[in-house]
Amino acid sequence: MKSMTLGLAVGAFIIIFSYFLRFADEVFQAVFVFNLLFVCMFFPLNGSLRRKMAALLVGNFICFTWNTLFFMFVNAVSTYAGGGFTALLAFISPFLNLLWFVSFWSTSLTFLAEPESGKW
Amino acid sequence: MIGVLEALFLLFTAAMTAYLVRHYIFTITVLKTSQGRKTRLNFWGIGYRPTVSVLIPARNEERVIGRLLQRMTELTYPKDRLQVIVIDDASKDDTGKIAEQYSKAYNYVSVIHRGEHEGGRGKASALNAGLKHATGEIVLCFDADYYPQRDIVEKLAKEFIDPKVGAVQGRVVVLNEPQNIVTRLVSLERIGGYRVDQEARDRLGLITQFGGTVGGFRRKLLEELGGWDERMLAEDTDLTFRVYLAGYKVKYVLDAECYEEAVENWRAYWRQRYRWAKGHMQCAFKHSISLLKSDKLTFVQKVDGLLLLNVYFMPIMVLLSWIVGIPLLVLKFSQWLAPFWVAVSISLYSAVGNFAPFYEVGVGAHLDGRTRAQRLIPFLVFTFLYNIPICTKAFIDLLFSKIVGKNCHRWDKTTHSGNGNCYIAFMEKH
Repeated sequence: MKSMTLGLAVGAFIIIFSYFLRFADEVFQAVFVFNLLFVCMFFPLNGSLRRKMAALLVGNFICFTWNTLFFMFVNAVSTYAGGGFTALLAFISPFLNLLWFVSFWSTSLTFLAEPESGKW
Repeated sequence: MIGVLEALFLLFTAAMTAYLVRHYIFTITVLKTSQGRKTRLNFWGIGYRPTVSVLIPARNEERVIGRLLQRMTELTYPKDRLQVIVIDDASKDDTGKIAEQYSKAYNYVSVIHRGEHEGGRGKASALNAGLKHATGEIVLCFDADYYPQRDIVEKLAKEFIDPKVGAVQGRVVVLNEPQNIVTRLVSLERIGGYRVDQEARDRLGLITQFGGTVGGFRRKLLEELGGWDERMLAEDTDLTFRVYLAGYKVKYVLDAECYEEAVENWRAYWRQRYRWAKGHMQCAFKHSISLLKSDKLTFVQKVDGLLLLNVYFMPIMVLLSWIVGIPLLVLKFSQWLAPFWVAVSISLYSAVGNFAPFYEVGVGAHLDGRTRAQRLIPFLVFTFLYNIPICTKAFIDLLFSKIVGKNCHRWDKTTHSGNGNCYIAFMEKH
């Protein structure tokens, strides 16, 4: 419970901080979803709080970097390819984010887990 | 026009949010009660030994039937209280012969041979044929490709000491998991379904589902209900709801494990899931109203029952919400529904809520200590996407058959290769 509360507090802080940093809307949106999902899905599990916090910070770093680069790419492409392509990329963006959210979350789980059981 | 799109999007999002909340509650419930120990200690009914009939429907299962029957002879349940009935459902291979060999060697094993004119009409029909010969107080069912623990009958039968329990369900674990990516992904789905979903529903007193195998019923109740409904493709889900509507409950037994041979390729996966989806949708049409009207169920059970009945509509809803979401998100038509919230809701329910409960699977694997298996969770997105056309086709076909008024529901049997046999020796060793 303590771990979850702390996670929510840190997650909320990062969301508010990124809002005031005035990133692109799309980047803020990704940071918002990532923190909400990751805190709710990772912090209730048994495991070291330090590892959980480290994973949250690393995740936020990846989230910020990936989305900033992606939308810089979208803006650059839109100059040549027009609005249609930009619209397509903007629509694909939540799905691409989902892919790495789940990958990052499932990889993070392995750092919290106890050693492998007898099953394969 | 935009108003209609917004209303549709909100409707779909509301439905999917309900699943999101449900999956999250399930997972937190299991986490709260399971972290720190692997299984629940349960001494309830430990000395209870009712007479048990085990039904094994088998059609062209020569590659796997022998290992299950061998296992039946190794069960620790008292043999004088056990009856094993193999229903050879018009097999064209040596299934009947293998079963006959066991029948001759063990007096509690018997075989019912069904000819071409009466057999081959699906599992429900075969089980009903077996039920006529069952004499035990409890009737358990195992599919021919399953391989149960030695003490599984004790674990399942002891729950019937509670008079409110009408049926039981054990845990299904994939036997041939290391075979390929399909079996590994199916195994992950099973972990989410049985380690988290079923366990949570049981703990919360909701609608625990009888999965058609590795479980059973009180014979009297089953006979009162008229046995398995042969018109239904998901006869197990149908029976689950009939049990609850009759005022009984289904008990889930987490530590009663049974190993199954999972489908090995995407084509077999399609056929199996198509049958499940269509069968589930049939059940939704059949039971939704009676579920809401029932005075035997609590409000929360009714809500959970409705969500369970309609779960196979979710992939279709995801597809529709994506289609509706494109103009709202990309073209920014909406006046009051900001693209921000459209994107947020799509991301959220895609991750947790609908047909890709990554969270349940991940937590199930975490509780089982399956560190390596967790790394495959992102690949579940393929099954998630694959389920969209499967469920859409099932819905269109069902709708078509309802409009035409023809019952064109064919039982498409899953073929078992017997590849799971090589894993049994490995499993026994470890």
